[in-house]
This record gives sequence, C-alpha cells and structure tokens, in this order.
Amino acid sequence: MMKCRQARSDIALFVGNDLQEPSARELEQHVTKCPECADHLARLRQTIQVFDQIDAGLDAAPHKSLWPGIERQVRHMRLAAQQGRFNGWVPAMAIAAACLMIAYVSDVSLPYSRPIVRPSETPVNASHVDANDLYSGERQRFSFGPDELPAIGDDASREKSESQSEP
Amino acid sequence: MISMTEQRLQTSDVLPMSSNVSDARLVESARRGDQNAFGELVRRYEHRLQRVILRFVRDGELAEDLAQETFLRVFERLEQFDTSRRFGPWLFRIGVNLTLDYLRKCKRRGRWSLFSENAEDRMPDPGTSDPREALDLNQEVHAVLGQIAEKYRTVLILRDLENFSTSEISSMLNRKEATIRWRLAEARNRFARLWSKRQQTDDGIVGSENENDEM
Repeated sequence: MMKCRQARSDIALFVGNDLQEPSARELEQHVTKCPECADHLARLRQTIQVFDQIDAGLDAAPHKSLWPGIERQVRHMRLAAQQGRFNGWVPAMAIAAACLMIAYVSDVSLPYSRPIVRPSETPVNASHVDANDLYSGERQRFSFGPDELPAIGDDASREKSESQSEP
Repeated sequence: MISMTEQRLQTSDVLPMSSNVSDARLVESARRGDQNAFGELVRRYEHRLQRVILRFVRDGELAEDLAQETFLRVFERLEQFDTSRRFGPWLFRIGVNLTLDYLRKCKRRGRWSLFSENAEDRMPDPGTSDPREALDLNQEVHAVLGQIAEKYRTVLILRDLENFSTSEISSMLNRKEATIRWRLAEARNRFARLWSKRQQTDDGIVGSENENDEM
C-alpha cells in the first residue's frame, strides 16, 4: 500500500506526465481510496496549468539573428589564435638559432682546446701520456745537438739547456 | 588575399548548409575552420537558447547578450565536445550555467531587483493600494518562482516552461535523472503551496516562505 508522503511526490510527477507506468497505475489506485491525495492531485493539476498561460508572447517576439555579431567575434578569436601561434614560433626560432650559433662556435674553437683522444687512438699504456708527450713536438723544435749548442750564457746555463733537451 | 587554408576550406571542407546536415557534422566542420558551419549551428539554436535564457533573466537585451556569450564559449570549447553525444543539451548546459552564474553574481552584488532596467523587476508603485493589482499573471508566476530555491526553480523552468525532458535536463545540469525527477516533484509541490497561499491571502506578503536563502 502506497503511503501518502510518497504519493504526494508521485502526484507532482504524474501531473506533468513524468511518472512511469507501474508507479502511475499504483498512484491512480491510491488516489481513488485517499480523498486527501485526490484533492492534492486536483489542486496541483490546476496550478501547473498557469504555466501554459504565461509568456505567450515569447515566440511571437521579433527575432534578429545573433550570427553577424558572433561571426565578427569569431573572426577576431581566430586571428588572435593565429597571431598567438606566430608569437610562439618567434621565440622558438630565436632559441633554435642561438643553439645553432653556440654549437657552431664551440665546434670551430675545438682544435684550439685540448686534443681529443678517441678510444681507437688511445695508446696501449695510456698512463704514460702526460704533458711532456703532448708537447714533445714543441720541445723538438727548441732542442739542439751537442755540436749545435747556442753560444750564449755560461756553462751552467748550457748544462741546464742540455738537461732540458733530454727526452 | 586568400590563404592556403582558406582556399582548402572553400573547396573541400565547406558543407552544403541544409537542415539534413547533422549537428555532429557541423561541429566537425566548424572545428576544421568552416565558419559557415558554426553559423548554421548558431541559426539552429539561437532562438530557443534566447528564449530559455529569457525565462531566467526576464530581460530581452540581457538574454541576447548572454546567448551571444554562450555561443562564443561553445566556439572556444568546440574541441572538447564529444560528437557521439547530442549538441543541443551541451549548448544549453553552457547557456544555463552561464545565466545562473550571472544571476548569482547579481544576487551577491544585491543589485538585481534594485537596479535592473527591466520594468518587471522594479519595486511596485507605492501609489497603488494593493501592489499585486499592478502585476499580471506573468509577473505573479515569476514572483512566486522567485521565491523557490534556485535548484528547484531551474528544473521547474526547464521542464514546465520550456518542455525539456527530464533526461535532457539531467544532461544539461550534469545531475542524475533520478535527482532531477526528485527536484521536479519538490519544485511543483513548493510552487503549488506558494501559489495557493498567494491566491488566498489578501496582503500578498509571503516573505516567510521565501526559500532563496536555503541555497
């Protein structure tokens, strides 16, 4: 048996055809037995009829399309989006160009920095590679044979230059 | 000068505008940049959308502005729309939410009824012996609707004044259909109670029944 409290809620849906079939039939049975709920149904039916009587002029009102105004705004939005994309490219391109420049400059300056020893060129006993080996070519340019000693300074300086020329 | 993109749109992507083209196809076309497709969507829904908004704000110019704003928001969010779903409820959802947000802001500022340019929202003429004499049925109904809490009023307006189905309202308001049906029943009962009280009492002061503060 349906309770009146539930019936009041169902009646409110029933008057607008919003109550589905099993519940609607159950409500109709309840209303035939409950005069209070029947009264509520009649009052609610009458009340919601006022909704059909109001705002009758809404559809008859002259209507101008919103599209011309919207179209202008849409065009501005598209333009702004395109400019936004362009504005995004400029810093990206500038950063890319700067990176390329840095890479180029560092590449050019490499021969003047310390030599690169590639794994394939690594001497068998790599621990012997020291500063003396790296600058051996320079040293040879300034070394003299025993009979080519420069005639400058005294014997001590001569000895010193001889000791420096030794490998 | 016409760009390459525009040329491409002119040749392949522009849909022939007719009522046979589905909303989903128009949305897809609009996403690819076909402005006419979006124009067709606007023309399809603008009248109904303005009418729905008008039910809430009761001001033609304001309804027009809010409808225009709704379409611009829709355009901005076109990529987010799931074309497997219906376009109408999605559009109305944005429109109704925008309108309710606007009304809430006005309510917070406390200027809606005091400074509205809409004649119906102004205070009644004190020279009239019974202020209700100056109101017609439209104003009576809207005055009673104004006393119902927003969550019930919204459902009542959408269902009983605009004839949306409860399932459409549930997608518009992003609530379960059972919730909408419960709110609808509650709204009709509350309206009936307030309406009969207003009809019966002579002074027409039903301030104690005002539910707007319970939100």
